Amino acid sequence: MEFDLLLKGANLPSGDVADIAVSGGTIAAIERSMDAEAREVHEYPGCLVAPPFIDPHFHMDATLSHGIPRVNASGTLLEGISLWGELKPLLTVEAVKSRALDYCDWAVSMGLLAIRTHVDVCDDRLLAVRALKEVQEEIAAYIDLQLVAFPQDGLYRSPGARENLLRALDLGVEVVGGIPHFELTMDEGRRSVTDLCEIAAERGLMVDMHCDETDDPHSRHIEQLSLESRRLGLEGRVTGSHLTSMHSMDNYYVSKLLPIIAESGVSVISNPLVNIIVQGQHDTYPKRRGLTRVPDMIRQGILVGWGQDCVLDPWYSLGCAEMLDVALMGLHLAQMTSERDMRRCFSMVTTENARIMGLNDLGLEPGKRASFAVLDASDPVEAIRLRPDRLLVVSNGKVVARKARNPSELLIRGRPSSVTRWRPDAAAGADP
Amino acid sequence: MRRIDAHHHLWDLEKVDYPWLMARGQERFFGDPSPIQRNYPVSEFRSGAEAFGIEASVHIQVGASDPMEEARWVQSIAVGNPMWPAAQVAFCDLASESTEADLVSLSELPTVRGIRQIVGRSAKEDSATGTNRLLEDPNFEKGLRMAAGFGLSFDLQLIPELMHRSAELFGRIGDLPVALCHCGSPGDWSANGLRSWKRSLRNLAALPQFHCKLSGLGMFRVGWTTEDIRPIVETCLELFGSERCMFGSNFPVDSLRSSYGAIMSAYEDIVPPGDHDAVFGANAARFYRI
Repeated sequence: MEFDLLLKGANLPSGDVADIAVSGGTIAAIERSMDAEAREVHEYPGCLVAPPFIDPHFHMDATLSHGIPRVNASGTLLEGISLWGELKPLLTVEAVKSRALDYCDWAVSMGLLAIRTHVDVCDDRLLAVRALKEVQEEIAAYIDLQLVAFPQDGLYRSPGARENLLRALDLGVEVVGGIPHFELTMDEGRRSVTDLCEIAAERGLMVDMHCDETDDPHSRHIEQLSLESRRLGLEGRVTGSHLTSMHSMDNYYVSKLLPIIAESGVSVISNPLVNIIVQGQHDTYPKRRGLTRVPDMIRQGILVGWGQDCVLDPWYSLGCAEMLDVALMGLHLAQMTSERDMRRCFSMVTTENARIMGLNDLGLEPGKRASFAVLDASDPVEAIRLRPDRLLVVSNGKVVARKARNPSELLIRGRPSSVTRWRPDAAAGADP
Repeated sequence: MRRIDAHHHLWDLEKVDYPWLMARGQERFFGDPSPIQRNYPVSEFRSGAEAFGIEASVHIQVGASDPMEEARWVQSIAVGNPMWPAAQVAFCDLASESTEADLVSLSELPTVRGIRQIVGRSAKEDSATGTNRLLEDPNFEKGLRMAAGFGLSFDLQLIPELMHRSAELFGRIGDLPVALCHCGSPGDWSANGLRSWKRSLRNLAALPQFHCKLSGLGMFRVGWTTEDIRPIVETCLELFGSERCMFGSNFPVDSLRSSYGAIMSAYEDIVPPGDHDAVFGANAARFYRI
């Protein structure tokens, strides 16, 4: 039979070499040396083929707005939120859409094919929701975009936010968000968690809350989130994002907390690029790093992923849709430097994030959707080290981006004429 | 018809610097190289080959740190031993700024007939060397055209997973004669692996300027037998035709896996008797102008 597409000779993340055959948007087979005809043959021996990169925590309504109307001078979360408040009245559907679509072009070129974005619903016009629903539809063929109804200014603290959140859900936003640590009191925060989880349970939706994104060790809304997940039977559908306060908590309390999170089936997203900047800003020295306890949670069996959070917006002045930047930063901050942990950091921006988002049809397995990226690196650790070009990006069986390999030319007498920075672990001297 | 070995190597560790022969303890895609990390002089090669009726040979570059030094050394051996080797294929970085100057220097050596710059050895080693990238490098394509302009041929070594891509490249350079090394390096000898290799090989066999060297298969399997390599050799004969296939021993690399005699007798058994003259001599004599 003739396949639509055949990828030959690439390295799977496991290290096995295999051909991948694609038919009708689905992975038809993954085998060593496939004997098959295909309409398109792509040959990348020695290169890594990875399942798609996935960003489970992003703010697409704000992305690429850096500098509008001004930049965040202090770098704090709170100035970012107030700056976003200045920008919100200036937004138009067209501008939000245009920036989001530009960002999605970047994402595709990086093999980033699924994104969960929080959308601010503290706006009576629900402008960002309307804009991103249109974007979601326009990019559906190549990017899975999940929207989270996010009451940025507080579910109770911001007048009308709860009604707007419900309206957003009525418009088809598929995940319930929240921000309990930003409510006016600890108790209001706790109540918001319960309220939002009940809304999700009633509507059969997933939950993903900004939770305890603060240096305050007493911010323990993750406790309530875990409780509600169990009480309402939402196991596997609830995510706590950030959880940075856990960095400052007492060890004894955390030893009680982690098993509770694990048992409740709540997954966790850490956003290392942004957390390392916005947390610890009120400290002098020693200065807290503000990342949640990622390795401890993994050891506890909690599903943990890395998120990007922001690109060129009121909170973060950098970023380029490169989930390997996120993995690299997370790896360093969480001190996940063993071979196994480094590989874990790679799967935390691919397969773990797919599980968090409930995208069970993504992955490098026969029968799953044919979405993957070929990298100019040989294995996951080298990919994190080099953050290499995506040579080929396939989404739902179609090539959506590609890039020719382009090693640096060296113009030094007596040295090689080009350099790749690949690990020199095999083939010393090379010939024959 | 004079019998020719169209693919072998020689080395003298005192005269030429070969980094890969000095890299101890490195397992290679063809196994542990330590038994051949010693001098391999023409006298040793001849005593093995002449016993099986070989009367001339083609030396293929083998990775000296200074390719010009290697080519000159091979030339000096030929001067002292008529027909041993009768011709050589030297290394030149065809993607370099100095390609043209290097080709001028190499062309001054009477034995130089062609260039080899390895594109693919094995997927794992290629990961480290990055040589696959040559196929996408416009400078490499320019260098190949330049080599053709010098009247040289090209020895192409690559793996089956690069044959679609390389057929596109070499299809654009019709006037460059190409010898495909080692049957296209089939690494997977399962039935499926060989079917997959054959399917890829068709792309190269379809290009009239291509010849195929029946050589080097011992690199891919310890303890290979005639029956193991029969389907590979027969496929090459089928796709390229006996007039475009050339025997090569790939000694001394293949000596890691078998004797010269075992290789000869396997090929003599597989190649139909009527094609012996072509495959064991005439084609190489024509291709390498011996």
